[in-house]
Amino acid sequence: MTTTTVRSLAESSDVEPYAYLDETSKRAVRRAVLKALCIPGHQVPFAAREMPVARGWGSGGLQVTLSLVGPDDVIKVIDQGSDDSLNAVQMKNLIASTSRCRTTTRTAEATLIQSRHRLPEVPMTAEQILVLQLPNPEPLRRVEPDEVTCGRLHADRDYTAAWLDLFDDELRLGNPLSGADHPVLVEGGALMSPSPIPRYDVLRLGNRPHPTILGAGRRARLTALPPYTAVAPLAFDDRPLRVERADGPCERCGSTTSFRVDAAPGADRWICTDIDACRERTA
Amino acid sequence: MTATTPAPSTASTGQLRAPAPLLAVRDLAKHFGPGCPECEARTGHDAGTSRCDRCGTVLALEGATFDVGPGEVLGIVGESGSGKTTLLRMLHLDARADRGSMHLDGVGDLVDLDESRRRTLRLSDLVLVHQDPRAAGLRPALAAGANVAERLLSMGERRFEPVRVRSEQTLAAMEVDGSRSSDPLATFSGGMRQRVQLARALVSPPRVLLLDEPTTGLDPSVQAALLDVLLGVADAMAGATIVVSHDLKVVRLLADRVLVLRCGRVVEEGPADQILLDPAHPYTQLLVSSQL
Repeated sequence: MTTTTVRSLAESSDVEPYAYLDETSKRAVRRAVLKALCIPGHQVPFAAREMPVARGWGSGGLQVTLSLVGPDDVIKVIDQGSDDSLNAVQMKNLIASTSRCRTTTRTAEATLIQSRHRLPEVPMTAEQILVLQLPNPEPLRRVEPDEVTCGRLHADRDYTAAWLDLFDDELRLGNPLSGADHPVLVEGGALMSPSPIPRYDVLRLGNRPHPTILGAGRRARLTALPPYTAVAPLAFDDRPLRVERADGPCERCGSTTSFRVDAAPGADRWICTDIDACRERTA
Repeated sequence: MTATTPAPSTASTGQLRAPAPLLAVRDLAKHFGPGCPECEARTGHDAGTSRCDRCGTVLALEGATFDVGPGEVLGIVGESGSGKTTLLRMLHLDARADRGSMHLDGVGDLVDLDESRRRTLRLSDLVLVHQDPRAAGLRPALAAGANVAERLLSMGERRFEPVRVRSEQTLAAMEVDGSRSSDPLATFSGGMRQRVQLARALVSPPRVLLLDEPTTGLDPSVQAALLDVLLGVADAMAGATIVVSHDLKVVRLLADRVLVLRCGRVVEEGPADQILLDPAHPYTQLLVSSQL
């Protein structure tokens, strides 16, 4: 019996594993994903594997995508809303070639979307899964350097330090300094880092029909939001989180409600960052 | 911050009774070491040490019993090593007592609470003002106003304007100029930091205010100004205040009653004037004559 197992293992090691990771690794990641879904916003540790991308370049999101993907899936990988960025294209090629799944650039067609820095603007359905690349899963890192203390504060739901940091920013500067990583409260409980997404997307993170899974490979942590989870940005009742300014409609599609950035510094030309949503509107 | 003196309850006999103590401490003890049956006999004032020479155990505090009523200021005096800091650390729930009880009105016994309950109490009901503002958990990188706001935020206040207004009012009451409330604490002088620390303690008046050598280490003119502020605070506090100091002048100015500690034991307790002007215990006599 043992000999057979050893032999079959030896044989299977010659074969390139499906979806890059071996079955045991993928199972371990899936277990962590399930656990993260059970405790929304909680950071679940997992054994992050060495990946063919540098840590901090999407290795966490990639491991989640690879452990969830199947041959019938249609994947879309975006970076700041763009399908054409080098890193996104390389990861998409790796996922597609090792799992033999189809790829797309259309949000509506995809079953599995891996993203960095944006949530797709085309509404997603309950049939889809969103995977976000998360560089720093610990929302208290800015205010508390000690990992053990952070764990204790999460256990006590004591987020005074984060509130205090926000209060200080509001007092001195009139708005939070958190930039593109504004912490959120999940179901009024756990404080979670939403990954670096614009505030425009922070306000769209909650109450979505699909699960959102955030993978941090370098920090070996997963967090997740199951469908229809309440998510609120950390903000005072009388100082709600304000979205980024955009002073004009998109040059390409003319939208005034999408997330737009300045095309060239100071040029006052605004364009959508979500290429797919922009294309849908012009089509 | 108006002192709410409980209406004297008139019992059926029609007599006036003193209000119930806010904080009742009974037989409180903290020992460091294995302990032996002779520890108690070999330590204390008569032995001149708090260390048992048979087993080496240090009786940092032994059998402390006292009450502090609402609005009352209790002064604790004693030389170095007499148990002042140990007592204060237990009252602030930083250290666990080995024996005895500390009963806080409305909360119950504080001795056996778990760590997270201790932390909530430290933010709501029991506040310690440290001798050294740097050790007090103040955050030098944050604005003075933010440091003051901490306890309001920890108690669940989620509106910005009321917190800002309240913390600026409290800073103004401590004679800190309103224009400085958004400056980082790191730019403040020692005396000003001590005021910020006091404002942080009083932004939401605690049930028990613990002052650990609040004026030590400041120059005399700042000391006098801060004592002025403290006197106003102590008068207006509805809760219990405990001042620990080895400066008898500070204690005489602030305290209603005084507790004298030596070698981990309470040697004398009574009204401040009586203890400091007409001490009965030989040790208190020595202490008073050597300093006043």
